[in-house]
Amino acid sequence: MHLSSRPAVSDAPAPDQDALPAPALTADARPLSRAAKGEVGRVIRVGLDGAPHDSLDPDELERRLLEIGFVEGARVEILHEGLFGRDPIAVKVDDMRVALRRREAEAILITAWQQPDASGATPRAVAEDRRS
Amino acid sequence: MAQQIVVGLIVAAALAWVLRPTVMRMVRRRQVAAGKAPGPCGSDNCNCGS
Amino acid sequence: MNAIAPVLQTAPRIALVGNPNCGKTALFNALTGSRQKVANYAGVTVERKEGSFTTPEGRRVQVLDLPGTYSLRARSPDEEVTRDVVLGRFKGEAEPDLLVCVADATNLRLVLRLVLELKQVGRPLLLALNMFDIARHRGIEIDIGRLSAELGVPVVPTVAVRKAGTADLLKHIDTVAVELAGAASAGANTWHEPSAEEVRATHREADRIIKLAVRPPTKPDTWTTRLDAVLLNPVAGLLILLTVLFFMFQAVFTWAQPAMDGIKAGFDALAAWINGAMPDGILRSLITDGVIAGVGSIIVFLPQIVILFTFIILLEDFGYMPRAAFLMDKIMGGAGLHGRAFIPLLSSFACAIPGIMATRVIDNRRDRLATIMVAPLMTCSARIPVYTLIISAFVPDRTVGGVFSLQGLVMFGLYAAGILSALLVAFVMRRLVWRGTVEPFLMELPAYKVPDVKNLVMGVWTRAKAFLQRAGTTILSIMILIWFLSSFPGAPAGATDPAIDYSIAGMVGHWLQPLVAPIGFNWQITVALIPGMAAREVAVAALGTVYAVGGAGGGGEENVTALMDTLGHSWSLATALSLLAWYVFAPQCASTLGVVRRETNSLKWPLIMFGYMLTLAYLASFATYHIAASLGWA
Repeated sequence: MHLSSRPAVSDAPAPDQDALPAPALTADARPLSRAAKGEVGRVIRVGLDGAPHDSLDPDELERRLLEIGFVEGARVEILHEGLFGRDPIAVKVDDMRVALRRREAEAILITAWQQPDASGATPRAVAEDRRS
Repeated sequence: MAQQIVVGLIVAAALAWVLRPTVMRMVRRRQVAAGKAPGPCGSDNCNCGS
Repeated sequence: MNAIAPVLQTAPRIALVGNPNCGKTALFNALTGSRQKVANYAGVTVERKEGSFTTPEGRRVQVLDLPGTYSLRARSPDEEVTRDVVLGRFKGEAEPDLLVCVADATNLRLVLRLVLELKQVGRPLLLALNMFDIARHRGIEIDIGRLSAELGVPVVPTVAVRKAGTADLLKHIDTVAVELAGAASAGANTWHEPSAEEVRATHREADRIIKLAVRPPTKPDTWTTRLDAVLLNPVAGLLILLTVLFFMFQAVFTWAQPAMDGIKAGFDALAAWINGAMPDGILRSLITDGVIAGVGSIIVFLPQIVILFTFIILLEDFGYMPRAAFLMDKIMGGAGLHGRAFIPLLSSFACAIPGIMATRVIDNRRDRLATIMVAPLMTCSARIPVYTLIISAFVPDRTVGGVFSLQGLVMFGLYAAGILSALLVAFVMRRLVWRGTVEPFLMELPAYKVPDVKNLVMGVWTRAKAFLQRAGTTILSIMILIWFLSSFPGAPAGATDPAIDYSIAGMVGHWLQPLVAPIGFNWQITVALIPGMAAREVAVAALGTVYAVGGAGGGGEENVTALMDTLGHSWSLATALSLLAWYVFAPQCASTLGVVRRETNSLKWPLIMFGYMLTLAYLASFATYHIAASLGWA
């Protein structure tokens, strides 16, 4: 249980807090549902941008994922996988653990994790810059 | 005879207990329909927030 | 709900809100001790836990333990209750005067977001940092003054499992109560369902506050990681889970037996004493055959329920339940059931009643209903006497393939038929009837915690009490009605046939005869099945009564042997197999239907259960009888 391993927002307050995050599609961006055990990533987008999902209303799914801690900038690490079809997955989200099916993990887009101070800017700030 | 009355009362009470929720719901529904009681939250005749 | 004005001087009402697994119930138990009441909220299948305590200044405080949630934006009936009570719009529930948001001090991020949402409600709010000792032990430093200033909400540390751990909270409640009594009313409610962007914004705000007020742990919890490496391992984890389940199953089945025998003997002795002390008559019959036999047949399940809930609460407090659901999700999911459904279904092998009560671990209403509906298809222990009687009377005692006993194989087949049909029914319900509403599997895997003994005792005690109260009233009523149907009108003077033959149950049996003739039942079976509604195994005693072997209430070894001989001579093999098939499916248990009514708070679900099980039973018996007859076993 870590507290606050995630870089804080106060470093780079986003000017447009209520705007929809633009899909920050970098070269290595891919859904969490395709990640394998041991992989570490950073969440760059939560939600399907209105694309239909087979279990829930996409907006509802987005909010549920956000409420349980999958938020842009969060560090995710695949801890465990189920036996059949490697599903569901147990994910470490910042400092807590969450279990979910790969079907729901489709709505979470991640990139490879870089150290917060790698490029001078925190990953969260990068995510927010892209948003503006 | 007294025994039969006691037994009859107990059996009637048991029957009433089993049917109670159904009867209560019917009464409630009738009251809602008559506008004497608010309906469940989210329904047309709900009083939430008022 | 504004009509109910709070009388603060006498009994302020507080409501506990918080994330799941934050130790909210432990805090509730610490505050209220044994002064708590478990019931259902009006109109919904959500457990309502209320209690009271007295503050150091002598104020009596009512406290309500609300279902755990991550947001006021409700997604399940439980969370709707939380939302509506917090917003003061729950029908028949007084508005809380003070909201106490309970937080796991070692895991603050999500709860701070909830606090920010609760602030919008405008009601007096207090944040209790529970498990503060564990947080300190891990080297987490929380600047309470700063946290409180940033949130704009008073913050108090608590340790629910320690004796004086709630002193600060109590003191604060006294202060707040004084302030409230002076103040006019709560501030304006500006809460509305947050959009995804608003959820993101409150997350950012929570992150900012954590950065300011909380120092990350110097000694992070490595136990959870280490334990998960084994317990969530795809192979080892499943094997451990199966071992745990096997152990639980064994415990419920065998450890409960001596206590169950004791209870049964106690009730038999009581009935015998009353039979001796009271003159013969219908009142005595009501008391012994109706009330004592009826209550006895319910209370006899108490040991199983206590053992089962001891296991469930231990596993839950330890934090294993979500892990078990994780491991089982794919397997259960194939039939459209939730990963958490396996514990209730496993418990149903002992008895469907505790099994159905255990479905409370499933949050989603439809998942829970699907589990409740198939639970009685699991072969419960009450079917065993019936199965044993018929199998030993009709299935030859020989071995197949040199190893397996034919009787054992038939028994196994009956168990397998129950399991397969349960999976099939669940599949049909979840995939065909409630199509397109596959609930996501999305749950927190909390850190492992050592279960607290006091919490365990309180949990088991409240379950046991609720079982006796709930099941006792409804099921007792049903038992009395069945007794009435089986005893009235009494046999005429000089009658030679057993009394039940002249009763309403007997008449119904005779009327139903043409209906059950196609499945090979004779009228004796039909009549015996009616009191068998009280409890499945009662059918054995009823068959004894109908065939007039053994005296009234006689169920001794020699009577069963005599009954086996009689049945072997008077039934065809096809009839016997048909009855077995019937027992796999038939809703032959009024107690189960009563519990389903209590748990779902409606007559609709027990009626649907009765209907579908009866249909399955009839079809299965029909097929069995005719296949057996065509094989020349008629």
